[in-house]
Amino acid sequence: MLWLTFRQHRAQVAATAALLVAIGTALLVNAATATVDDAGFGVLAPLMTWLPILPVAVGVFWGAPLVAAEHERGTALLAWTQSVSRDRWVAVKLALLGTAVTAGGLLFGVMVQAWLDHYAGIPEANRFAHGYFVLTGVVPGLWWLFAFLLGAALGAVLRRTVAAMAVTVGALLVVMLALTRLRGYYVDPVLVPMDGPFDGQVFAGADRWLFVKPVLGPSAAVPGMLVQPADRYWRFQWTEAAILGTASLALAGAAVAAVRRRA
Amino acid sequence: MLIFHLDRRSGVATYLQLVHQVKQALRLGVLRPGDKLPTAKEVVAELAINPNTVLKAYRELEREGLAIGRPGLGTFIERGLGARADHGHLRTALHAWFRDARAAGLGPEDIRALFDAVAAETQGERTA
Amino acid sequence: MNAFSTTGLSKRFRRKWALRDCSLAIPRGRVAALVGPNGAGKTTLLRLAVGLIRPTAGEVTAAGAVAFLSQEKPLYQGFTLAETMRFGRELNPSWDGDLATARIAELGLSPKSKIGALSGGQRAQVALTLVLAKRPELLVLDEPLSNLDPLARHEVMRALMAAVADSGMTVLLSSHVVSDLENTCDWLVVLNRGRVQVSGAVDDLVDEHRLLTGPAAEVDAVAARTEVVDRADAARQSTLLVNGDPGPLSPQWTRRAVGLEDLVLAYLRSPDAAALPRPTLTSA
Repeated sequence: MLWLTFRQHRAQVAATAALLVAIGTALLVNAATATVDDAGFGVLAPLMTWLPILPVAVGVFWGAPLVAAEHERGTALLAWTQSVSRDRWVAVKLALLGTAVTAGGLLFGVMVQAWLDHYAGIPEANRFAHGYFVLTGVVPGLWWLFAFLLGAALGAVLRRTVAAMAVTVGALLVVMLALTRLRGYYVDPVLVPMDGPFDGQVFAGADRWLFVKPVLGPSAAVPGMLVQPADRYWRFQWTEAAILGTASLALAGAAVAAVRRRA
Repeated sequence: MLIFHLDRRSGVATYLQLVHQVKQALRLGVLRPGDKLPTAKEVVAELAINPNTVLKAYRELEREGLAIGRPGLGTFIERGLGARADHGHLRTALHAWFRDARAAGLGPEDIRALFDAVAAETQGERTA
Repeated sequence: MNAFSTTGLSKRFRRKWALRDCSLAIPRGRVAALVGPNGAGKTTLLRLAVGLIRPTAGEVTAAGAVAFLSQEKPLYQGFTLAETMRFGRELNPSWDGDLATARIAELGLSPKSKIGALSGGQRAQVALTLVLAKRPELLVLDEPLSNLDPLARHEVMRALMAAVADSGMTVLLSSHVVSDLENTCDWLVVLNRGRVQVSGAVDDLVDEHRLLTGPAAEVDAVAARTEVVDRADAARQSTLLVNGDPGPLSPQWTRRAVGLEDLVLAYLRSPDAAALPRPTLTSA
């Protein structure tokens, strides 16, 4: 099964490895050729805003075809009539490929963190900001795993690769948006009072907090901003990892159940 | 080695076709006592027929005492058919008869009809 | 000893019954043909036999390892022949590597050739190799000859029969072309409208059935004496396909043996007729 899994998904493994090498090289070259003071951060920062979308590609190319393509090409009848039971077939594939994408996501997180560390003096290089929160720590590994299992479960249920891919994209974007909204409230935020008018000065502080929302206007007793202090970063990382991990387990169960179902 | 062939349109049961072909080969001296018959696998790999059909044909040959199965070795011819010494003589006589029949203006159909009729008559003589 | 049996097997897809109360048994070592018109439930029965789908009611029993080849003979198009054989080895503990290697060599194919580049006949042979090398005790094939040219059909049948001679395995194969099965199958199961109509040894069935032709005036009297499967009446002459012996007949009647194809057609034309093993009573 180990051989078969690798043989059938070597294209995804190769493409993902190439992508990680490319991203790593870009980050390395950028950090090596730039100093803290210059505009090196600004060169890559626009690119980095797109990287949180990466799990979508994982869901589409690793997850959706896993079972759907076997149905579509008729090879499900080949794969599931061997001595290895179909339960085992799907369990091994999900476990092996799930481990691979999780490792890929974690490696990706380490690379982005190292790059951010290089720009420690720049306020925008904040790992607790929404954009970088999902690119650093353990969360990228879990996002990749979640996306993979979502694609796999949808593919197992829909039995059509393209349909599974489309639904995976939609569902992932919805979940990403929802978690971005929810993230500020994993723990009650702290109100940072503001005396003067709201301006960029706030970001200049040493605290790399997670901005939740401004509390302004006449209704606010004390005008200010709701934020999550920087020392909550890891607590938040593990909270989001737990949410995605639980959802991933449920999706893996759904994928196995869909494969086991013998109409 | 005997090579079987199959006439799928003859209406004769397949195992009987095999039996007839072995007997024919015995009469013509193609097969002699002690010769090994092809294994069921060899026959079916050539003719694409059910192996049980071959086994049934061989059982029939065994029943008639023409062949004997030796476990693990195969099926062997036990005894021949017809007296081969007379055979050549009969064949020559039949050749002459066929020439006469053709000379008398008989076509293949006529010859066969006559042949079958005489065969049936003499069959009756023997059993009577 | 039966290699395969079903009791009261039924399968419903949504509201439609694909198979209804199907009970049959195939003795070990037989090559059984499952015939019937399209939509008779053949594929459903075979998929139930190999556990690809679950029955709505009843049960399936197979003695020993089962291998299955579906009609489309699926293979991974991007795999090489060597990779395809490795797939078989990795997923089947009973894999007979020597058999697989010998068959590939016999086919004259290079292990490096891609499955997608093979002809339909070659692909069928590779798919057959994949199931034969598992060394199953029961081999189930769904329309193994469909979509093949006459030469490939013959080649596939030769390979299958040689494997049967070699291993003594039981084969259950479906087809809607009866002429393909003459000479190869020694057990016949006719499935019609989701029900088993005929099940038995081909030799016995052929012995038990006969075609009677005689004057129309006497046909009813003859028909009453035995079980009529199929009947064709002309102005003066009638033809009966009967199951059983009608006893002595007047000289105007002729009786002829029945071929497998005629037998099957007669039953398919008369869905209410049946030739099933009679229940045997055993004393307690």
